[in-house]
Amino acid sequence: MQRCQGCSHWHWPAVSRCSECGAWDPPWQDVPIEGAVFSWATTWHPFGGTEAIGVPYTTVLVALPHADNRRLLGLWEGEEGELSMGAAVVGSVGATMVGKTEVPSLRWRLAR
Amino acid sequence: MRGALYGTTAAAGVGLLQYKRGTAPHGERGLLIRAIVQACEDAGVDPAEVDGFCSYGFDHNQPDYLTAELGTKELHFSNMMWGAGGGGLLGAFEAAAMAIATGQAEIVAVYRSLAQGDSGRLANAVIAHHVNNHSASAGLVTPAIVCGLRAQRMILEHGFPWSAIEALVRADYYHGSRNPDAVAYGKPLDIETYRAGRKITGPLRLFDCSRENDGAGVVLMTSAERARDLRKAPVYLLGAAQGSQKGWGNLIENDLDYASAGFESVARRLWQKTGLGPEDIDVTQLYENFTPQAVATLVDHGMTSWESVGEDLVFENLIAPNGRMPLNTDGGNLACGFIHGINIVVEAVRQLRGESANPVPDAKTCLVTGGPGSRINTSAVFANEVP
Repeated sequence: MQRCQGCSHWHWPAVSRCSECGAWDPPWQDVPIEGAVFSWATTWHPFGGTEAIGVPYTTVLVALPHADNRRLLGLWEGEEGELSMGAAVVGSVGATMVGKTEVPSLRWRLAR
Repeated sequence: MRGALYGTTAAAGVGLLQYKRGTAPHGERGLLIRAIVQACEDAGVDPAEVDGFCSYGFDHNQPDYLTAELGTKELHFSNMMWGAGGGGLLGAFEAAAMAIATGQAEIVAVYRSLAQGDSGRLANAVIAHHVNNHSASAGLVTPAIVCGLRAQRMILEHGFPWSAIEALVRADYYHGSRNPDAVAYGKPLDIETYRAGRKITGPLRLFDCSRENDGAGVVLMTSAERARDLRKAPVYLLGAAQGSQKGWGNLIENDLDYASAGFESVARRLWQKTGLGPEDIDVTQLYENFTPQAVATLVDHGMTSWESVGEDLVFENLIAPNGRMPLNTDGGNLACGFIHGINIVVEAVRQLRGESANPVPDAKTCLVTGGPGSRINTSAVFANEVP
């Protein structure tokens, strides 16, 4: 994740200028892929562009405490019934076919 | 102090053509020309006199494509409101009012035209502005899923009763079933059918989602002074506001006030500009992309609160003629139709003229909102007198 060298503000989506102190090109830092469930939605309708995922699938939005709770999206790897607000989760990096392009994607599951 | 535009301009004419998606008998431009001419006939002005054009939602029909058929004497003002979706709706009216009040143009057509055969599905056009690789890789490919994700957070954070959503849907279909112009005319929706609607995404089922229609809607704006001399009674624009507060925008689901519809600064400035408050509103036309966002719009504008949504949003309160908080009196985007929201401004004008299919007796003020959850949201208040 991106963190400002001038004022330590975390940024996501990526920026070229820190909105808080004006520093240019904040550098990237590794953070653990873990966080707390912020929201989720299970999609049943086969919208175009989701063919490679297949319905139903659950999109989850996760707040990362190691990056001042900036939120990242991903696909849920467990049952929808396991999800609750604030549940501790861990992620791994996978890939999703979006149309004909393979795009890196996060896959989240409950922390054990 | 009220805004400088307060009561300076008015809607003088409306035109609306609406068809089932994919069935319009004309292309977008043909629909739009007809709707503009209809609005001009309604107002009693020559279409050639329209000298300004405003739209939003990246409508494809820019004024230079229209002037040849309208016979435009001189084109003075052309404006597109940014904001990818219907969020720009009332911003287009604000731009028209600014142009008229400052003498840039005299008669401005504010419009939106859509025909699937010309522009494809509206959803796809909106998607182009909302989806990037990170969201698409998580299956977040359409505004419906964005709104589903946000609606789920509204449930988690505010714990509001779903009965409020059901009341809104019932009110929309009650009004729509009584409106000859509505898709749902003659087709009331019983709550069991709503509940049995197939799941779409998150808490949203089929009847929580707006329809897409082919069609064109036009509202003709001019100065308050000139409007008083035209065929129909003027419907004044008391004020409009647009934008977003810090921490809201193109943030890939990182908006700060996430469990809202994003109107905090817009609503605050709308009330400042009009000198009015929620208690002064007689009828409301809500842009409803999806039902939870419509409820959040009412909360954002102070028409209710998350704590009292369950008491305020009951069917009897929401319907004309006697409801305490009547809304979407044409059926709204769910039951009347959805031409990217322009319909609801047409209904605001008709309601304040006493021409609505579901009249609210003595209604003097109408709140109209655009966008809920959009990165840029807009609202306005119209009135049939200037208080």
